[in-house]
Amino acid sequence: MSRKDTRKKKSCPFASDPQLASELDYKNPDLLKRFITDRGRIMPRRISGVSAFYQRRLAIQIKRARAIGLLPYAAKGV
Amino acid sequence: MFLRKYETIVLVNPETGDEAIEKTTNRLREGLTSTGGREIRLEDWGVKRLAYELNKNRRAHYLYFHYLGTEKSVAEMERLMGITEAVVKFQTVFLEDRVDPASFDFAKESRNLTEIAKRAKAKADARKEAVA
Repeated sequence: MSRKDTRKKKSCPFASDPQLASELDYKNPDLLKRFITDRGRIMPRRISGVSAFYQRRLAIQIKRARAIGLLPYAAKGV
Repeated sequence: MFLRKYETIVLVNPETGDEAIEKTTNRLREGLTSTGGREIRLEDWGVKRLAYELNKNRRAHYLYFHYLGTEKSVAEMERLMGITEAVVKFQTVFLEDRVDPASFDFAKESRNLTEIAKRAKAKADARKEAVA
């Protein structure tokens, strides 16, 4: 491709903010909500820009929050 | 003797009233003390809206229990929760291994949790105001 890539590089919100990273917890659904789609699926890294390290932790916390009804499981239908 | 740090969240049917909440908390404490565990903190989060329906109910009363215990404490508490009818669901998360209860600062840990709860509440209030 010859076209210059003009997209801005996304930076991980957790890696750049230790305070936010410390709040990454399944008991904090308001924060987790920013990383799920409107249908309740976990947002891919390529969209959210979260680093691989924090994406792994994020996924675990989202799944825990789902198990106790703080977050929805993916909604059915398209 | 080292203990392990856990936290358990219990969802109680909100239609069963205060008595059921008291019964559930009593059973949690009973299960913990009978297996040599130490309580750090028990929080009542009140009735919250669920993200999905559980037992035909859209709401649940949340209890949050933070403690030091052993594998036996968890097994016993989960057994007791299983036979408490008002309990809809529970989840235990293992937090830390090999905690020495003799040198563990219970008051400090509890204070930290209070701080975290305060910050979370301030944030939630700020958001609500921004909306209003």
